[in-house]
Amino acid sequence: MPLRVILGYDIVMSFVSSAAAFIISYYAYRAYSVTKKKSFLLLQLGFTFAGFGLLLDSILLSAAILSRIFHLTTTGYTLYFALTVIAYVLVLSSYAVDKFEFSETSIPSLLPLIGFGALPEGILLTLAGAITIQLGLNFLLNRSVDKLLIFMAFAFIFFGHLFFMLQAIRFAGFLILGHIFRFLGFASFLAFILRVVKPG
Amino acid sequence: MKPYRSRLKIIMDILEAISLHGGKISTILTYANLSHDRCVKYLEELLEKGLVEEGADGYALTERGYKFLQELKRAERLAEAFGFRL
Repeated sequence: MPLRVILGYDIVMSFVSSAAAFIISYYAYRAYSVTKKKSFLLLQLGFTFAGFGLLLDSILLSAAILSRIFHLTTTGYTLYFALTVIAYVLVLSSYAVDKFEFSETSIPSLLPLIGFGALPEGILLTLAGAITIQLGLNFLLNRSVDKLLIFMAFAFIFFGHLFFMLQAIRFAGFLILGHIFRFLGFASFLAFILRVVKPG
Repeated sequence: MKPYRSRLKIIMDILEAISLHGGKISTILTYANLSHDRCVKYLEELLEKGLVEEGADGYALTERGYKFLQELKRAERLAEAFGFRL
Protein backbone atom coordinates (compact mmCIF):
# COMPACT_ATOMS: atom_id res chain seq x y z
CA MET A 1 0.00 0.00 0.00
CA PRO A 2 1.44 3.45 -0.90
CA LEU A 3 2.43 5.62 2.02
CA ARG A 4 0.19 8.57 2.70
CA VAL A 5 2.26 11.71 3.11
CA ILE A 6 0.95 14.49 5.36
CA LEU A 7 2.00 17.93 4.21
CA GLY A 8 0.29 20.11 6.77
CA TYR A 9 -1.37 22.53 4.38
CA ASP A 10 -3.39 19.62 2.93
CA ILE A 11 -5.23 19.47 6.28
CA VAL A 12 -6.15 23.15 5.95
CA MET A 13 -7.20 22.67 2.30
CA SER A 14 -9.41 19.70 3.23
CA PHE A 15 -10.95 21.72 6.05
CA VAL A 16 -11.73 24.71 3.80
CA SER A 17 -13.04 22.36 1.08
CA SER A 18 -15.36 20.72 3.59
CA ALA A 19 -16.70 24.16 4.54
CA ALA A 20 -17.39 24.86 0.84
CA ALA A 21 -19.18 21.52 0.52
CA PHE A 22 -21.35 22.32 3.56
CA ILE A 23 -22.22 25.75 2.12
CA ILE A 24 -23.34 24.17 -1.18
CA SER A 25 -25.28 21.61 0.86
CA TYR A 26 -27.01 24.41 2.78
CA TYR A 27 -28.09 26.20 -0.40
CA ALA A 28 -29.25 22.92 -1.94
CA TYR A 29 -31.33 22.38 1.21
CA ARG A 30 -32.82 25.88 0.89
CA ALA A 31 -33.65 25.13 -2.74
CA TYR A 32 -35.25 21.86 -1.67
CA SER A 33 -37.30 23.55 1.06
CA VAL A 34 -38.92 25.95 -1.45
CA THR A 35 -39.23 23.61 -4.43
CA LYS A 36 -39.58 20.15 -2.80
CA LYS A 37 -37.62 18.73 -5.73
CA LYS A 38 -35.95 15.44 -4.84
CA SER A 39 -32.91 16.22 -7.00
CA PHE A 40 -32.06 19.11 -4.65
CA LEU A 41 -32.44 16.82 -1.65
CA LEU A 42 -30.02 14.31 -3.18
CA LEU A 43 -27.61 17.13 -4.03
CA GLN A 44 -27.85 18.38 -0.46
CA LEU A 45 -27.18 14.92 0.95
CA GLY A 46 -24.33 14.40 -1.54
CA PHE A 47 -22.53 17.57 -0.52
CA THR A 48 -23.17 16.85 3.17
CA PHE A 49 -21.46 13.46 2.81
CA ALA A 50 -18.62 15.04 0.81
CA GLY A 51 -18.22 17.71 3.50
CA PHE A 52 -18.14 15.15 6.31
CA GLY A 53 -15.65 13.01 4.40
CA LEU A 54 -13.23 15.91 4.01
CA LEU A 55 -13.82 17.17 7.56
CA LEU A 56 -13.24 13.79 9.22
CA ASP A 57 -10.15 13.22 7.10
CA SER A 58 -8.66 16.57 8.10
CA ILE A 59 -9.55 16.01 11.78
CA LEU A 60 -8.02 12.53 11.84
CA LEU A 61 -4.90 13.72 9.98
CA SER A 62 -4.47 16.45 12.59
CA ALA A 63 -5.07 13.91 15.36
CA ALA A 64 -2.47 11.59 13.83
CA ILE A 65 0.15 14.34 13.87
CA LEU A 66 -0.67 15.52 17.38
CA SER A 67 -0.95 12.07 18.95
CA ARG A 68 1.68 10.38 16.75
CA ILE A 69 -0.76 7.51 16.19
CA PHE A 70 -0.24 7.28 12.45
CA HIS A 71 -2.77 4.55 11.70
CA LEU A 72 -5.38 7.29 12.22
CA THR A 73 -4.47 8.52 8.72
CA THR A 74 -5.71 5.19 7.30
CA THR A 75 -8.93 5.47 9.30
CA GLY A 76 -9.32 9.05 8.01
CA TYR A 77 -8.82 7.99 4.42
CA THR A 78 -11.23 5.05 4.79
CA LEU A 79 -13.95 7.39 6.06
CA TYR A 80 -13.15 9.96 3.38
CA PHE A 81 -13.29 7.32 0.66
CA ALA A 82 -16.57 5.76 1.84
CA LEU A 83 -18.33 9.10 2.36
CA THR A 84 -17.08 10.53 -0.94
CA VAL A 85 -18.26 7.46 -2.88
CA ILE A 86 -21.71 7.89 -1.29
CA ALA A 87 -21.58 11.63 -2.08
CA TYR A 88 -20.78 11.10 -5.78
CA VAL A 89 -23.41 8.38 -6.12
CA LEU A 90 -26.00 10.73 -4.56
CA VAL A 91 -25.02 13.56 -6.93
CA LEU A 92 -25.28 11.18 -9.90
CA SER A 93 -28.63 9.92 -8.59
CA SER A 94 -29.93 13.49 -8.52
CA TYR A 95 -29.62 13.48 -12.33
CA ALA A 96 -31.51 10.22 -12.58
CA VAL A 97 -34.29 11.66 -10.39
CA ASP A 98 -34.38 14.87 -12.39
CA LYS A 99 -34.54 12.90 -15.62
CA PHE A 100 -37.46 10.92 -14.21
CA GLU A 101 -39.28 14.13 -13.27
CA PHE A 102 -38.61 15.83 -16.62
CA SER A 103 -38.21 12.92 -19.01
CA GLU A 104 -38.70 15.03 -22.13
CA THR A 105 -36.37 17.91 -21.56
CA SER A 106 -33.50 17.08 -19.23
CA ILE A 107 -30.03 16.10 -20.38
CA PRO A 108 -29.32 12.36 -20.42
CA SER A 109 -28.36 10.71 -17.13
CA LEU A 110 -24.98 8.98 -17.00
CA LEU A 111 -25.79 6.85 -13.96
CA PRO A 112 -25.35 3.49 -15.76
CA LEU A 113 -21.79 4.47 -16.76
CA ILE A 114 -20.48 4.09 -13.22
CA GLY A 115 -17.58 1.67 -13.21
CA PHE A 116 -15.36 0.35 -10.45
CA GLY A 117 -11.59 0.27 -10.52
CA ALA A 118 -9.20 -1.54 -8.22
CA LEU A 119 -7.85 1.52 -6.46
CA PRO A 120 -10.07 3.72 -4.27
CA GLU A 121 -8.92 6.88 -6.03
CA GLY A 122 -9.72 5.17 -9.33
CA ILE A 123 -13.29 4.62 -8.17
CA LEU A 124 -13.59 8.25 -7.03
CA LEU A 125 -11.99 9.34 -10.30
CA THR A 126 -14.58 7.38 -12.27
CA LEU A 127 -17.51 8.80 -10.30
CA ALA A 128 -16.16 12.36 -10.42
CA GLY A 129 -15.54 11.87 -14.15
CA ALA A 130 -19.16 10.86 -14.75
CA ILE A 131 -20.41 13.94 -12.89
CA THR A 132 -17.95 16.15 -14.81
CA ILE A 133 -19.21 14.83 -18.17
CA GLN A 134 -22.81 15.38 -17.04
CA LEU A 135 -22.00 18.97 -16.10
CA GLY A 136 -19.98 19.46 -19.29
CA LEU A 137 -23.03 18.47 -21.34
CA ASN A 138 -25.14 20.82 -19.26
CA PHE A 139 -22.71 23.65 -19.94
CA LEU A 140 -22.48 22.93 -23.66
CA LEU A 141 -26.27 22.81 -23.98
CA ASN A 142 -26.72 26.37 -22.78
CA ARG A 143 -23.63 28.27 -21.68
CA SER A 144 -23.52 30.51 -18.63
CA VAL A 145 -20.93 31.55 -16.04
CA ASP A 146 -22.80 29.64 -13.28
CA LYS A 147 -22.74 26.42 -15.30
CA LEU A 148 -19.08 26.94 -16.15
CA LEU A 149 -18.15 27.37 -12.48
CA ILE A 150 -19.95 24.17 -11.44
CA PHE A 151 -18.43 22.28 -14.38
CA MET A 152 -14.96 23.62 -13.51
CA ALA A 153 -15.46 22.65 -9.86
CA PHE A 154 -16.03 18.99 -10.69
CA ALA A 155 -13.39 19.05 -13.43
CA PHE A 156 -10.82 20.27 -10.88
CA ILE A 157 -11.97 17.61 -8.39
CA PHE A 158 -11.70 15.00 -11.16
CA PHE A 159 -8.09 16.02 -11.87
CA GLY A 160 -7.44 16.06 -8.13
CA HIS A 161 -8.45 12.38 -7.95
CA LEU A 162 -6.39 11.66 -11.06
CA PHE A 163 -3.27 13.13 -9.47
CA PHE A 164 -3.97 11.33 -6.19
CA MET A 165 -4.29 8.09 -8.12
CA LEU A 166 -1.04 8.71 -10.02
CA GLN A 167 0.67 9.54 -6.75
CA ALA A 168 -0.62 6.33 -5.20
CA ILE A 169 0.65 4.27 -8.17
CA ARG A 170 4.19 5.59 -8.24
CA PHE A 171 4.56 9.33 -8.88
CA ALA A 172 4.87 10.98 -5.46
CA GLY A 173 5.22 14.46 -6.94
CA PHE A 174 1.57 14.47 -7.99
CA LEU A 175 0.39 14.64 -4.38
CA ILE A 176 0.70 18.43 -4.15
CA LEU A 177 -1.08 18.86 -7.49
CA GLY A 178 -3.88 16.60 -6.26
CA HIS A 179 -4.45 18.74 -3.19
CA ILE A 180 -4.29 21.98 -5.17
CA PHE A 181 -6.77 20.78 -7.80
CA ARG A 182 -9.26 19.44 -5.27
CA PHE A 183 -9.03 22.72 -3.39
CA LEU A 184 -9.57 24.69 -6.62
CA GLY A 185 -12.69 22.60 -7.21
CA PHE A 186 -14.24 23.57 -3.91
CA ALA A 187 -13.09 27.16 -4.41
CA SER A 188 -15.10 27.17 -7.67
CA PHE A 189 -18.17 26.05 -5.70
CA LEU A 190 -17.62 28.96 -3.32
CA ALA A 191 -17.28 31.39 -6.24
CA PHE A 192 -20.58 30.11 -7.63
CA ILE A 193 -22.36 30.49 -4.28
CA LEU A 194 -21.00 34.03 -3.89
CA ARG A 195 -22.52 34.90 -7.29
CA VAL A 196 -25.88 33.38 -6.34
CA VAL A 197 -26.19 35.08 -2.94
CA LYS A 198 -24.96 38.43 -4.25
CA PRO A 199 -27.88 40.87 -3.95
CA GLY A 200 -29.48 42.30 -7.10
CA MET B 1 -42.29 21.84 -29.46
CA LYS B 2 -43.07 24.23 -26.61
CA PRO B 3 -40.82 23.58 -23.59
CA TYR B 4 -42.60 22.12 -20.58
CA ARG B 5 -43.19 24.67 -17.81
CA SER B 6 -43.55 23.23 -14.33
CA ARG B 7 -46.09 24.47 -11.79
CA LEU B 8 -43.27 26.02 -9.79
CA LYS B 9 -41.97 27.88 -12.85
CA ILE B 10 -45.46 29.23 -13.55
CA ILE B 11 -45.74 30.50 -9.96
CA MET B 12 -42.31 32.06 -10.30
CA ASP B 13 -43.33 33.76 -13.56
CA ILE B 14 -46.48 35.17 -11.93
CA LEU B 15 -44.57 36.50 -8.91
CA GLU B 16 -41.90 37.96 -11.15
CA ALA B 17 -44.50 39.59 -13.41
CA ILE B 18 -46.10 41.25 -10.38
CA SER B 19 -42.71 42.26 -8.96
CA LEU B 20 -41.37 43.76 -12.19
CA HIS B 21 -44.39 44.95 -14.14
CA GLY B 22 -47.15 45.56 -11.58
CA GLY B 23 -50.16 43.62 -10.48
CA LYS B 24 -52.85 44.32 -13.09
CA ILE B 25 -54.38 41.07 -14.25
CA SER B 26 -53.84 41.92 -17.95
CA THR B 27 -50.14 42.55 -17.28
CA ILE B 28 -49.77 39.31 -15.34
CA LEU B 29 -51.49 37.39 -18.15
CA THR B 30 -49.07 38.82 -20.70
CA TYR B 31 -45.84 38.33 -18.79
CA ALA B 32 -46.71 34.99 -17.21
CA ASN B 33 -48.15 33.77 -20.53
CA LEU B 34 -51.29 32.17 -19.06
CA SER B 35 -54.97 31.92 -19.87
CA HIS B 36 -57.28 34.04 -17.71
CA ASP B 37 -58.82 31.07 -15.89
CA ARG B 38 -55.50 29.45 -15.04
CA CYS B 39 -54.01 32.74 -13.94
CA VAL B 40 -56.93 33.47 -11.59
CA LYS B 41 -56.64 29.97 -10.15
CA TYR B 42 -52.94 30.45 -9.42
CA LEU B 43 -53.53 33.94 -7.98
CA GLU B 44 -56.18 32.58 -5.61
CA GLU B 45 -53.67 30.02 -4.39
CA LEU B 46 -50.99 32.67 -3.94
CA LEU B 47 -53.45 34.90 -2.03
CA GLU B 48 -54.37 31.98 0.20
CA LYS B 49 -50.68 31.32 0.97
CA GLY B 50 -50.04 34.98 1.75
CA LEU B 51 -47.56 35.45 -1.07
CA VAL B 52 -49.61 38.18 -2.81
CA GLU B 53 -52.21 40.67 -1.65
CA GLU B 54 -55.00 42.41 -3.54
CA GLY B 55 -55.09 46.21 -3.57
CA ALA B 56 -56.65 49.07 -5.50
CA ASP B 57 -54.07 48.75 -8.31
CA GLY B 58 -54.37 44.98 -8.57
CA TYR B 59 -52.06 42.42 -7.01
CA ALA B 60 -48.85 43.12 -5.09
CA LEU B 61 -46.22 40.90 -3.53
CA THR B 62 -46.25 40.59 0.24
CA GLU B 63 -42.97 40.54 2.18
CA ARG B 64 -43.28 36.77 2.29
CA GLY B 65 -43.97 36.63 -1.44
CA TYR B 66 -40.90 38.73 -2.17
CA LYS B 67 -38.69 36.46 -0.04
CA PHE B 68 -40.22 33.37 -1.66
CA LEU B 69 -39.45 34.78 -5.12
CA GLN B 70 -35.83 35.46 -4.12
CA GLU B 71 -35.46 31.88 -2.83
CA LEU B 72 -37.02 30.52 -6.01
CA LYS B 73 -34.61 32.56 -8.14
CA ARG B 74 -31.65 31.15 -6.19
CA ALA B 75 -33.04 27.64 -6.53
CA GLU B 76 -33.45 28.18 -10.27
CA ARG B 77 -29.81 29.30 -10.62
CA LEU B 78 -28.63 26.31 -8.61
CA ALA B 79 -30.81 24.01 -10.72
CA GLU B 80 -29.54 25.49 -13.98
CA ALA B 81 -25.91 25.34 -12.88
CA PHE B 82 -26.23 21.65 -12.06
CA GLY B 83 -28.37 20.90 -15.12
CA PHE B 84 -31.72 20.32 -13.39
CA ARG B 85 -35.07 21.79 -14.37
CA LEU B 86 -37.13 23.76 -11.89
